[in-house]
Amino acid sequence: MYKHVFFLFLIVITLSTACQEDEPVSTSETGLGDIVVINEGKFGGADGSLSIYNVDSQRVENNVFENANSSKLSANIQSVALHQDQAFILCNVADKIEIVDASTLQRVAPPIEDTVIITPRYMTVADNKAYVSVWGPYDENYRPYDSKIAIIDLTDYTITTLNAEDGPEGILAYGNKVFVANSYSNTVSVINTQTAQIESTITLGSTGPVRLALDRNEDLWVSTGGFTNDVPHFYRIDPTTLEIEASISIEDTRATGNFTFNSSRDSLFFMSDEPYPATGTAIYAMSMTATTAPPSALINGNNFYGIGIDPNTNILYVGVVPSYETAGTVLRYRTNGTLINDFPVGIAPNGFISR
Amino acid sequence: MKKILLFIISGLSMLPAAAQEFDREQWLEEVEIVGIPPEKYAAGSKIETIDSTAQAVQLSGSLSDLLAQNSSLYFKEYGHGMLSTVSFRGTSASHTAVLWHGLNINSLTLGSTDFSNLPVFMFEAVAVHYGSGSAWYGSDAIGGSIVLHAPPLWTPGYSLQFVQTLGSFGQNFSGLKSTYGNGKWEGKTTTYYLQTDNNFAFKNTARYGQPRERQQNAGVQNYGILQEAGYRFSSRRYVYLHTWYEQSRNDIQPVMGNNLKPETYEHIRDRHLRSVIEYHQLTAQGHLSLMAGFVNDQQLYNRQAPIATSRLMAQATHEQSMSRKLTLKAGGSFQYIVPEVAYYEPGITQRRYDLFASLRYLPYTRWQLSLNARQAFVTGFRAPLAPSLGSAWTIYQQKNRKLLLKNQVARSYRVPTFNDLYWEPGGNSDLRPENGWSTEGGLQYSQSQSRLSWTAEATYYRLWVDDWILWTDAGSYWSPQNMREVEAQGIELSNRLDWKGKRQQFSVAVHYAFTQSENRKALSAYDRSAGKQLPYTPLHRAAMNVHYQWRQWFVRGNTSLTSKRFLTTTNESFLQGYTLVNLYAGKTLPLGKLRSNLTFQANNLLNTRYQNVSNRAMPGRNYQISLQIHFSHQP
Repeated sequence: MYKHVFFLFLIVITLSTACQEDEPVSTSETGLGDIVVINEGKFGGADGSLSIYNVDSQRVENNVFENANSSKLSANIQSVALHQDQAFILCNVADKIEIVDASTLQRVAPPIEDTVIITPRYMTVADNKAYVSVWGPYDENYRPYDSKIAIIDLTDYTITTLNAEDGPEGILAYGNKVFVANSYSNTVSVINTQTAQIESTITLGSTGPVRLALDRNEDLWVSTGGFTNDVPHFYRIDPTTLEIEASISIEDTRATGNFTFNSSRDSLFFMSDEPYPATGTAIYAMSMTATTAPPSALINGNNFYGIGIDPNTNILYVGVVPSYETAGTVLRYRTNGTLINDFPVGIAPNGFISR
Repeated sequence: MKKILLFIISGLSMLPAAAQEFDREQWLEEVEIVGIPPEKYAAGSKIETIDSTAQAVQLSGSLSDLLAQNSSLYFKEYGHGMLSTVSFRGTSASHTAVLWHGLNINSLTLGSTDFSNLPVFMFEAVAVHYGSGSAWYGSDAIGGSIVLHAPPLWTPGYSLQFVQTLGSFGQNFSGLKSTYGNGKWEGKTTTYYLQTDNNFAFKNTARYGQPRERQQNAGVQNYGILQEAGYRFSSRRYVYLHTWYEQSRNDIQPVMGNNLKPETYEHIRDRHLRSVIEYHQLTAQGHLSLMAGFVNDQQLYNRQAPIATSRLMAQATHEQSMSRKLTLKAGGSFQYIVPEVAYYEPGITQRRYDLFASLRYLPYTRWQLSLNARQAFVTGFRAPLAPSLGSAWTIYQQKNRKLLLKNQVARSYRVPTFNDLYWEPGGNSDLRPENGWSTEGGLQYSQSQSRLSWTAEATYYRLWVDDWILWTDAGSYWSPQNMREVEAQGIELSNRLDWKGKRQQFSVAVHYAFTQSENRKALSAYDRSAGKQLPYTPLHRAAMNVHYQWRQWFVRGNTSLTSKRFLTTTNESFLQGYTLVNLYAGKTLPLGKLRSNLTFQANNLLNTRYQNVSNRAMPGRNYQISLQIHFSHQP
């Protein structure tokens, strides 16, 4: 949230846009597939973009949305969700959800610009309905208020809403439940997809839950640490009984809450910042059976931002943001921490999707 | 006595024509501070004064528009009438010192000045001092400086000036200026009110289907009052007080994609109180100037806690002629700064002590040298010693022709802003001041006949800035570091031709700048910005004005060209360059003792669709009509 406060005086410094003109690559139908890189863009700069990295040819095409649609996205991108043959691009500044064909990235429908869509964060799909965590407008302290869960019927894109706790972040569908991490509190809300109502709430020991994922045993993992000064934690939760099975304190590091599982979903990689005022960043690896935080980092570096795994190859993708007015770089690592290669992308690569 | 004075003012021989119109004899008798205070000690510098015609025509506009149309400076505007910052010689918004009666009015928290909030109406004289100027102005003068100035009048009588301008999309400017004095006492009162709805129509290229929309949430409301009062004890001693209060409320023009999302609209409110009292005394021992100032800046972003700073400032300088060839000036200043910002730890204050000295030496009548130096001490650290050495050599002189060779080398620095140092979290109290050097050489040719005068100037400069402060991502917050190293070089050309007939006058003025400003080193292993042009730094920028007057009629055409600007330090994407044309036409209407002008103005005549800052819409063709009434009485 401090970044939002900073906007006040950072607007004086240059805004910037990302786009790199490389030769376009045709997406391969077979082989190892593509990685879609989400370039968030500079905060408030409306200059987010998508890049596609072809794993076979190791070639990258930047600015894919603009190339496919002959028009700029003109927004920052928080996340992209795939559902069947469509990709949903969740944008802020401008606030909208673009719906594109997952392989061509061409628009398949006009963007959802409904007034309720203010700072959409993440999306999951259950029963052909998209559940989107939406922060809503900020109050005078840059805290979101009037946050919602927007439920979008994917047949006709009609929207209904549920009131949410402030700052709903990670969202994940499992069975007939949708879990929502409430980043400004210490709770995870559980929505019943049959009634489309919040049916229960899981209370965590620490504040700031941000990301959700399922391990190979289909246990729910919740990370905390994003928008709080509380000690970051990981929680392992039984998604059926809603019991907290494990609570792991990440006291020695400054975990950001950003994490990904490996392809077999039995260990996870999480991002951490060196203590202030250092700007170093590190990636830690932790087994799903761990009870304590890993003692040392797997990968050390600078300006790491996004992290993701390619389930097809079990290769770790890490986004590097040298500054907010510079195009970023993606690093590819083996899960043992050895660097494979890097490629240039747009501004602030914050996430990866394999398709 | 006269000799001393002659030497004190002889530096003015290089001043543009306007300042030379003063009667020399009168000069010798009185203490008057005319022109830009440090100009005398700035041999070798490039200094331009905005001509009074341009100022009169754009009287109800902002300093941002005035300078953009009448110089080669690039202004970065976040929408129409929105935050506007200047870039000198490839440097950034906080690398320009803005001096008002010797007081740097840059925000201490942001480090820059919003030129859209400075109305031309408030200033008598606007001068542009290019290049590193820390030896004269202290912190921030890395790329250049803007000097705002108003000399005392000391003429008995009174005058009234009234301006009313109305324009498209709710543009409204009202200004009233009065002066009154008896030669001993003098008062000036200047007030203005500015309002713009800014609901102009534009094609929203950021949205699906590119609908035509009206700009939302871009209104501006701004008013201010400047009260000045002076008392002249004798022809050699006077005291003058300037107090300026202004208040503004700016909506923040949203990015185009959020134009119709009222939930995201934001606004900013500013209040500034600035006050300077100055005392001048001329004796056989020399010229003593004392100055004291107070500034309170307050900014409210939406409904947030105000971000405010207060500063007290005092300065003393003494100037002395040692011989026919040598003049010296030395002084010191003190500033005490108290921020009131909820995001800082409580109890922070800052003291700044500056010591400075200037020397002007004329080895030959045709050769003038100036040497200046300043050393600033700031709570917690010491700024680099900032010297400057300049030379102006008249290579060729005939009775009405002159060719001047100018050279200068100067150091500059910028003290980190309060936000850089103290913002929680992220503020970095270990920051060093930014550190710059610049060197330049130029030729200035001037020629004047009875009807025709012509001046042309060409300058080549190189500029280096190290320890350039950048805010970088430190995880959940940003933090500033002394990171960037920048090297810039460029060429500036200006040319002005004036022709005066019996009933008609004609002038044409052209300014051009070629600016190459590059990062010298990569910031980290995966930064690809080394050797690339800085963002929002156009390679080419030009402005041209053609003015023709026949009897009581005038017509003026202005065109400006801004080349493409990169949006990232890695130069992948850019905003297209654009050309803007503005047209002014007017007539002087005599109304008894009143003198009045009616001016019609068409802005962006070609209806160019352009963006100055990415994703901010700018208006197409629009119009303004302006009435000025002037009345003066001298006993």
